[in-house]
Amino acid sequence: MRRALLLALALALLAGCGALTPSAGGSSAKGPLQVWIMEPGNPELRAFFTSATTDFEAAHAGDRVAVQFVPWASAHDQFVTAIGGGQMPDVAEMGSTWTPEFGDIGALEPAALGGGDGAEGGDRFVPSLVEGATVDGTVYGVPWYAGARALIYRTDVLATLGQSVPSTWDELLTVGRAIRDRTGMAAFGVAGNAPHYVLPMVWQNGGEIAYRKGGVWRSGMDSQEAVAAVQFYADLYRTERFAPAGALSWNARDVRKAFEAGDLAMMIGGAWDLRPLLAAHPELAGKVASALLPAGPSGNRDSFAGGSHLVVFSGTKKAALARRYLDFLLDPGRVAAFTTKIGFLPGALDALAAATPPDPLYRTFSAQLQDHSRTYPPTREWGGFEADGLFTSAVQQVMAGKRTAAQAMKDVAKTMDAAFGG
Amino acid sequence: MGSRFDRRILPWLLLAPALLVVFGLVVYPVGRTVWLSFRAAGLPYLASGQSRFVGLDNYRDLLTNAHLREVFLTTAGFGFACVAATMAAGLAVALLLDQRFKGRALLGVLVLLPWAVPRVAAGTVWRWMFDDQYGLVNWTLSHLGHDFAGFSWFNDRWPAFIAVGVVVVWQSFPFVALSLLAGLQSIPPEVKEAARIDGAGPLQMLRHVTLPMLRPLLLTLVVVSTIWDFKIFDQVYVMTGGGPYRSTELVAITVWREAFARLHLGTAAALAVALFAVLLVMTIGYGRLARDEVPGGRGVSPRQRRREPLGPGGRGVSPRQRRREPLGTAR
Repeated sequence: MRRALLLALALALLAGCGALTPSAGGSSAKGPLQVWIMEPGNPELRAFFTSATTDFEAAHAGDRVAVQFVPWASAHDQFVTAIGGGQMPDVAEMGSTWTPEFGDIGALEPAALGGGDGAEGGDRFVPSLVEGATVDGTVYGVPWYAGARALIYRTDVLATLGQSVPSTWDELLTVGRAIRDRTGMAAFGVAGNAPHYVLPMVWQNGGEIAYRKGGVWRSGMDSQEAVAAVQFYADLYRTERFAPAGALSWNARDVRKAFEAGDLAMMIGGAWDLRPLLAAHPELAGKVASALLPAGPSGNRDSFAGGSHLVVFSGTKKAALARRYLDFLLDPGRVAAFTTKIGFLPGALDALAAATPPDPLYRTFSAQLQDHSRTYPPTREWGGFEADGLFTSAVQQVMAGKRTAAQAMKDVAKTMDAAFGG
Repeated sequence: MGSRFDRRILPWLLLAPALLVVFGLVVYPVGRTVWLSFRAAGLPYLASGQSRFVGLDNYRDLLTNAHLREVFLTTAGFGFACVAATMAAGLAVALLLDQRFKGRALLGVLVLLPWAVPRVAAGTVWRWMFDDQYGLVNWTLSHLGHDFAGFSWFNDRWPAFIAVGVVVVWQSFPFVALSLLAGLQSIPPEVKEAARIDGAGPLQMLRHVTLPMLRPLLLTLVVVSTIWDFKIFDQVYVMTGGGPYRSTELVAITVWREAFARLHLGTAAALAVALFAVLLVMTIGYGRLARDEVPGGRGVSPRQRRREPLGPGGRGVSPRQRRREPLGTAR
């Protein structure tokens, strides 16, 4: 009898252990819709989602949504981990440069852009955002919002120096030197850890970051134009000393911090930088303005069109609920209200028209996005380049004077070409 | 029948839950990592399990890739430096706390605080303190008469490693200090008394009495610290991220970068196995050293100890003898 009891106990324990093992293979059919939203460090975002979730659940009886906020900096890791563990969310916001990578391995459902399925309806959105979600003709994410960086500068400082806002690289040098020599401020935020500052300069100089040749992607980073662009950027730091020595390891946030402290006169940034900056520092109101990025020698002044897609993970058992929730989030009025709050612009053209701000301070960013922006090559490898710090560590080497731009970019191109294969 | 069940199966049944936990948490992951280190696996492996056997290719990469080789050397150099600094700081604090003075109890609690701070939080706070423009460290050093205004700790590998090292040591010395303090307090007062009567000064006392008596404990702490400091991840990840230009990458950071950024899961697994092997060899080496040490009896090897004449009674009698005795009397 005692033996039987013990045996039963042991078996129960074994069975219990089995039940504790998480089951692989997507989310379950029960429970709320699991949603991951990227967290940009803006308190407005959480407030928006708290009320949006309440509204959605009130409008759709029985539907429940659980929103989880993931910091941008660790989001790529988290997606990789979730896919590896079979614990993906049902719906997620995804950085626009990662969508091809995860779509390509089958982790994402093809997106429904319009009323119907497939790619039709793509013309309702900012084209570069649709292109950024497309791999081999299949679209894997619905453009949600977008933004492009422009030039943010201190009007009072430039006025005192009798300078006008730089509209070309040459003028950037002239104005920057005046600030450097005649004020105690740093002239321009040249940061080592900010890929979106330096890479668009390749376009501005008439180069390509990567291009398609015979159906295969090839790196353009070792071209003359790209090398000269990287050298120009690095020289702003190294020979012109437009930023303090520590800027070698600064990221975009450190640049904003220096601007907020009144130690920096010009920086590259988005409306998402400008809004919180002015909210936290009312003393800067009226002393700050924005302008399109200075044009390079080729006349181009493109900025990187960043943003995010809304994606549905494959294997979700709540496809209908996910669709309802996406339709809810993508309602033009809601997108316009949301993007204005966080300093971005809607990815859908109808919402974009509704959301273009009357304030000239912010209208610059709309103009930069609509007329002077493009996305990085939509390749499945790009997310890895970014996560690996491929561009930033090479640019840092040039800024530190360890290598010339030509040497560093040759290695970057080699790494990119090896990843592209073919 | 019943007794055979009790003797042969029951122990295994009772051990089964623990064994399952050990297997699930240790044996399976380690085995899987070793398996993965012989394969080429990328993101598709995570999504659908595709991978390809590549033999020793991943390990060959470790030997031929200049960056990976350098990372191992950097890790060893930085790890040993941190261990040395941690032991020195820990010993100094332990000796201080072993003295009688007012406020000793309070200091004892305060010293423990850095150990209680989560590593990521500590890294973040110290990163601010080492900030080039607005950091407390530069401000303090500048006010002490050195020109550190605008000095960037994270622009080059040496200053960056000094900054990270300060945080690592700051967080790990309390444990060493606390353990050594316990060791110090277990040294019999008579020994110290005798040394003092023989005219030993404080330094001689430390060198010839205290340290030799703490030797087994010191060795254990060195082993534990070495294992910790070779696996440092959090502080580096938060403070430098391995930069600038990958010059502050340690093995743990490289494993993470290969696995999560570059999605070279096989290379990452091979790196992890190599680090495991290095630590295993070092631990065994230290273990040998520690076994050869008998408190108070320097240089007595286990073999010698076994050869010692066996006294009557319990002490010094080998287990085998003890077991034989009652059997003999029964016959």
